[in-house]
Amino acid sequence: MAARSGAWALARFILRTRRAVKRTEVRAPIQLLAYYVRLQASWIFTFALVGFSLFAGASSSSSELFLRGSDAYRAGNFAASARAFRACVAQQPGSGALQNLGLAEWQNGNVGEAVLAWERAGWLDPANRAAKLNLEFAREHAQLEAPELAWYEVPSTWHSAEAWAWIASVALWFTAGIIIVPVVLRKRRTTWQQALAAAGLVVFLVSVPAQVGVWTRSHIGFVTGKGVALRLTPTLEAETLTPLAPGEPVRWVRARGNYLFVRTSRSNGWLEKKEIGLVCPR
Amino acid sequence: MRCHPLTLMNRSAAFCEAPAVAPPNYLVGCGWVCVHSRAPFPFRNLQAQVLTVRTSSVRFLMALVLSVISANAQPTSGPDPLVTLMRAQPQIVTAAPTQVVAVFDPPFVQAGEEATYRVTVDALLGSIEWPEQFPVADGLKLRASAQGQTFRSFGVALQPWSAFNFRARSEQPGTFAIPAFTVQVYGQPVRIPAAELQVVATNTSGSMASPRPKLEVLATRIFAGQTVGVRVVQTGTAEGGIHLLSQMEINGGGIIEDRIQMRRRIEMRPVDGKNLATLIYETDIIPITIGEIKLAVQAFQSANLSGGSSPNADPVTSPPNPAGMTLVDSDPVSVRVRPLPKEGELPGFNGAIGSFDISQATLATNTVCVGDPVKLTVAIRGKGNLSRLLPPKPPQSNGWQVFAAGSDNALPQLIQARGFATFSYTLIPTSTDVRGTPEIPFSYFDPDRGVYQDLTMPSVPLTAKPRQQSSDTQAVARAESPAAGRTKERRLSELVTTRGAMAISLVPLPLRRWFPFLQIAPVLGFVALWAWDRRQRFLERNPDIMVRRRARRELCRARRQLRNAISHSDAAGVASWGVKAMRVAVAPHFPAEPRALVGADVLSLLGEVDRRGVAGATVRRLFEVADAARFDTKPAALSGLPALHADLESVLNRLEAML
Repeated sequence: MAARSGAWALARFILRTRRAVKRTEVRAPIQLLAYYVRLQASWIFTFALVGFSLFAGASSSSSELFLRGSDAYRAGNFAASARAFRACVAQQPGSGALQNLGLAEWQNGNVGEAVLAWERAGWLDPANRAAKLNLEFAREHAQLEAPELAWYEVPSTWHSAEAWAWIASVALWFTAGIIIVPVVLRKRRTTWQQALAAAGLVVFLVSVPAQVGVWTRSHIGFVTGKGVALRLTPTLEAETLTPLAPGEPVRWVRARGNYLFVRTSRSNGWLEKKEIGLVCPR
Repeated sequence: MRCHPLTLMNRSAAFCEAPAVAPPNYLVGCGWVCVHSRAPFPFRNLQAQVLTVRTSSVRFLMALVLSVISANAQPTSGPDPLVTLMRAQPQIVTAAPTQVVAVFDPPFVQAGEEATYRVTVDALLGSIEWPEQFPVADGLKLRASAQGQTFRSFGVALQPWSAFNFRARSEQPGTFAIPAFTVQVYGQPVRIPAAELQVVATNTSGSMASPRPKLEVLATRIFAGQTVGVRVVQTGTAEGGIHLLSQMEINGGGIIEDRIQMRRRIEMRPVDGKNLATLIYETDIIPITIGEIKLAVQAFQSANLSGGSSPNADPVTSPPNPAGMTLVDSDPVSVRVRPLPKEGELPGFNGAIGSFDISQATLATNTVCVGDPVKLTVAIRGKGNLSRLLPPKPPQSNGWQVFAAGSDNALPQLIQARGFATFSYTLIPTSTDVRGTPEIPFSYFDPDRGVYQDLTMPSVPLTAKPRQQSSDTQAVARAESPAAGRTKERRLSELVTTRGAMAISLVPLPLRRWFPFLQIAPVLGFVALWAWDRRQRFLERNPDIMVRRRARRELCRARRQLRNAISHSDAAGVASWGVKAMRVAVAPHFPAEPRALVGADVLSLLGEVDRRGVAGATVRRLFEVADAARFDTKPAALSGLPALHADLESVLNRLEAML
């Protein structure tokens, strides 16, 4: 609805602006320039309005899907609820939608999908405590292991991946700016500038392991299918190394065709791509 | 004579790759022959064998290494028991075959009846290579039915005997011969003698064939994976003789023969009005394919058990078998194997087929502390594949940690004999809230009724107590965890009503394509800052550039005001803005403020010709009017000033060009 009204207003604005420009007898160059600028401004405004309308439309559709999923969940129709939440997440990933998707999948008996959804909710919003508690509940109930995190991966869970990226970028360029600007301007560095540069450098260095942790954690996946077997070779008739329960964590190492070489806490082997879901889908 | 070890062939084969030279004479005849090269090879002299194929420079190192290995691997107290065991095995004669027999059993049959064409060779079965086709008389149909191998004592060694059975059949009476042909045995040609079968229209003398076993399948409705009993019946002769069967095998694709279940007995059965001693073997098979399969039994028939006539006793019907054993096989029996139905499959089904019941489920104790293991033993009794029964997978239950049970460790014969299998689960209560063991789902397929039956292992009452801790331990636990002592109940969260933190994608920012390009922006900013600073310093070094630029800007503004004044016919404005424009235009040429300049300064920049011409006059006229308007008390004569517009523009253009 909002998208339709926005598009209509946009069309009217474009027509009116173009008519005004055509009617105007422009003689002075400065006036011509002014009209040109106004015309360009109208186009910029047009594009901005189109973008906003599309975004608003998408957001509206995503909200509708979220509400539809919630209603279906409350009505006990967990399959329809999971479908709605999945479509909502596909349009725009949200921590709350992923958490609800996990709940719906859990009620459907899809342990692997539920664990994956909650892990993704935590990936987007590490402060989502409900998703963490749900994961603990699921792992205790299904006797599943949590992924073992390396020392540099632990700080990466304190903030979201986006936050860490911005922290690292801002700290790096802030430090670089503090160091470079006085040199460029040929001014003497003051004490407070050096202190700020040191602080920025510390923040950047602290964020580097977290960045590495984010990158390595993005390779973590979870078994989503049932009756999944870890294969010795990337072939359909490969020897089975060990069965993997839905929701068990794996780490993607490399890909070959339709198979992924993964590392589990017990052994290494090959899995079909469709059998696991990565926290950070590629 | 060359000999061959009966066992450990793989081990000897592995060693055979090394020697490429003839072994020393003292090694020949020691009794150990390689399978592939057929060269005598003593394990004891492995070191010497290897050294023969190494270069001299390596020999010393190899000898040293092998000495160390042998010193470490074998105690000096005695020989290797494995080698001793190998040496204790009887040897097998693998010399060229000397006895080859080919006969029809029986040599006379009625048209349409089957006879057995049997070829016996005193060689290992695997060493005999049959030709692709061998000559068969027209009208005689041959079908391979069985092949086997047996051994006979030959002094301290064993003599192998291999037999091949073909079923021969002709619909027309006549004499059918299979001429002599050649097969390869141990790589050498061996001649199979000719054999002849007479087919008569009517056989009045009765069957003269060797007694053949008969296979009976003890089930009519068979499912894949089901343990099915089969019975092999060997009827004795009318004279009271009976022939034992050895090396019995059930032939047929898609089955597994369960030999541990084999039973044997002799009973009297009525045959043609006479009670004959009948030898009965019973064993089990497990079909593993679906569809129609043909089963047959083959075995070596030994001499008469009770002194009756042997089937090989008559030199006419069957020439004597040097081995004393005759390979016989039964007529094939067809069975149809059905797949297990998918419909109605119950939880806990893990391949159990038969008829089962849970006789007891016992706990080691009914009171256990949280965290302590307790053993649950379940006995399953019934009829079916008990010895191959797999324990059902334990469920995931709140408050319990359940470890899967292993299969019953008892011998399969013992399990089958006692009629039940036991599974032991290890359970650990993790909460004091549990009131009993979790139910373990289990089901089996009943082949008689064709349905799945639920046999879930019931819950056994149990009391879980909190773990007793010493006062010190409790104090430490309280200090470490404020929540210690109370059970933390986890449960799923409720639905959230907001979409929470959102993102465009789950892919981290550094992995998105645009993010690295975003990092160029600060770099560009620094470069721009550097360029701006460089420009500023250049302008500082050249201040006249700024002065002229400022003068051009002021001139542009003054000329705009001048045009306005001309368009409004404002003579005073023309004079004022004209003079101002000229002053601004010439000011950079003098180290002075524009207001301090006079007409002479402007004229000095014009050329001599211009100074005396119209341009000079225009400059003088405008400065006169401006000075009069500024300093004179009488109003200046302004007439004609707008007409000077063109001349004034010309002067200003020239002055602007000099900036």
